[in-house]
Amino acid sequence: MTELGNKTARILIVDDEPDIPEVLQTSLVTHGFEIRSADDGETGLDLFKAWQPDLVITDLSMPRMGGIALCKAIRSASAVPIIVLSVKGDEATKVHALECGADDYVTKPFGMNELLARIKAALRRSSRALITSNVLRAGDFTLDISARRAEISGREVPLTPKEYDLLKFLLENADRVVTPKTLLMNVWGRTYSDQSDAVRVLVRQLRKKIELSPSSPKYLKTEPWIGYRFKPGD
Amino acid sequence: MRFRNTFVRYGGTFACLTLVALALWPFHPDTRPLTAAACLSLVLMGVAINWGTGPALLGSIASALYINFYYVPPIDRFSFRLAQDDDLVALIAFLVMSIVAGQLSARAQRRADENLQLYEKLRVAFEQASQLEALKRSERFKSVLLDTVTHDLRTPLTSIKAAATSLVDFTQRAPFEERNSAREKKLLRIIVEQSDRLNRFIDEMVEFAKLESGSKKPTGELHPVEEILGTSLARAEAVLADRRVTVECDENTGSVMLPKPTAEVLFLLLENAARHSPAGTPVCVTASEQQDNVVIEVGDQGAGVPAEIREKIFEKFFQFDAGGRKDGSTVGLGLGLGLAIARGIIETQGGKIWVESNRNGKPGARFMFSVPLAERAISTASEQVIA
Repeated sequence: MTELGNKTARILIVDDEPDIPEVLQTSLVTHGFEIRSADDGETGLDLFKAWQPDLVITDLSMPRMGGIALCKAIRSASAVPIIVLSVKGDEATKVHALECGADDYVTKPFGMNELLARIKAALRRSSRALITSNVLRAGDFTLDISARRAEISGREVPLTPKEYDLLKFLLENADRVVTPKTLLMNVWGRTYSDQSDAVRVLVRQLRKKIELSPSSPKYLKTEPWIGYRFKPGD
Repeated sequence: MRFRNTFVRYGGTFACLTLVALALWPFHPDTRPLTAAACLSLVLMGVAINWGTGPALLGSIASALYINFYYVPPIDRFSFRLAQDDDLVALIAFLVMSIVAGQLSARAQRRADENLQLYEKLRVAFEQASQLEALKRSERFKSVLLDTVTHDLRTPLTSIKAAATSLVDFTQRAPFEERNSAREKKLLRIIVEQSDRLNRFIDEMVEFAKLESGSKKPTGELHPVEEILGTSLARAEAVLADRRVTVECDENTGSVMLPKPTAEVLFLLLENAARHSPAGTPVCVTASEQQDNVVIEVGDQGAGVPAEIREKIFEKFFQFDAGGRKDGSTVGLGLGLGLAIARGIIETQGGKIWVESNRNGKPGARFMFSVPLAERAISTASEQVIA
């Protein structure tokens, strides 16, 4: 947890378009990050192993080894956060990348402020991933794991077992984009992997209990065409 | 090939005649010349119609000889003389019939050929005409497209380049402390806004190209109305920034499933409303169910759309500015593709799109589209999974 506090975070950028790493490097260095870049997946993976970065930003379509293959390769060895860069309209690839281990995505062309926010959220997430006590705390939410109880800003919220499971998974993956398939696998188990209706209905139920205004949610946000992103609040 | 054809015609004639003769053979002693002649006539007529006058004439002579050979009294059996006058009559009759049938058939064939040729000529002429028309249209289309694209891509690009080079110039001339940060911020904001504008144009062109090439098939992907509304409104946030946007959609309608591309349509309608109504005026989005359709409406308080162009505004490159710009410029009006794209998408989804005037004689337009209801989000099966 303190690792990132003591030293500058290392970010590996993998993109075959040379201008993008250059611009990102120029900007991210001023924010105190240490940057290295690679122009294809294979070189990226080698650099990843040798340099041990704290976060990876990768393009999806690249020669030799693409972004998806890189996500899989990195995920098989490490839990380091991965942000993929993608183009509009290619939702299927984004979903695939997320299900292959990516944590988040940014659509090209993106603003630097947007990318920075995602980088910071991803680093924050990875630095608090090792919470071992019986209480899971994030933002306005507190979960008592052994009693299976949930509180929002100190007020207890009665949840059904499924709602509780969903909230717990979302809290564990706060700020991350999760696809309906990921939710089905983790909240229901593999057997229901075709029931994305069930996810919608359960999300609606949970929103009614945790959101002040379920139609414009503050915590459990919809990520258009991709899935959901849980923001536990500051 | 030609030789073979001739061989088939003449050979075929003799083969047919021989077949008839053989068929008559068992009855020979009982048959009269008239019967044989009638049968042979039939064959000859067929020959004349199908293979022409030549084989028929030769066949006629052969038939006359055959009758003469087999049907004259025994004494003269093996002589080929025209023993009796009626043999001559038979021969002439055969010949005349062959010629007449052959000519009739040939004439009919010529007519048919002529018709076929005429048809072919007409077809070619039509094809050329329509190709020419299509070419003209696509040439015009290309030039309009090129004009608008170069214009609309270059305008933001010009602003970006001007702003960026100004910034380069500032940083070179003035030391950091003396720089005018307000001025720089303004230039930077121009770069950001104009690059967003460029990106919107690219999106629009991509959507349009997809529709034109017919690759925009109805997708099977369905999303609830509330997600369609939320996504389009979020995307249109920048263009609707200074307006009050109200959304009317009850929970039932919100859970109805719609095809994903309807979000693109709603976004285009929101953008259209923002473009054609005075800044600061409200925009109203309503979703409702009517029979087996979902109807989504975007209402603005602009000048409205005159009745005579309510169809036309959905055509590509049609641009209309109710505000009536004094300089006649079309800057900021867009490519004139938005509504054409919207209609294209809605039609591939089996729906309708149209515009009406505002209710109760108030100013403004109401753009509406209806899409057949796909399915409801909440099925009883999934309710059980959640319990």
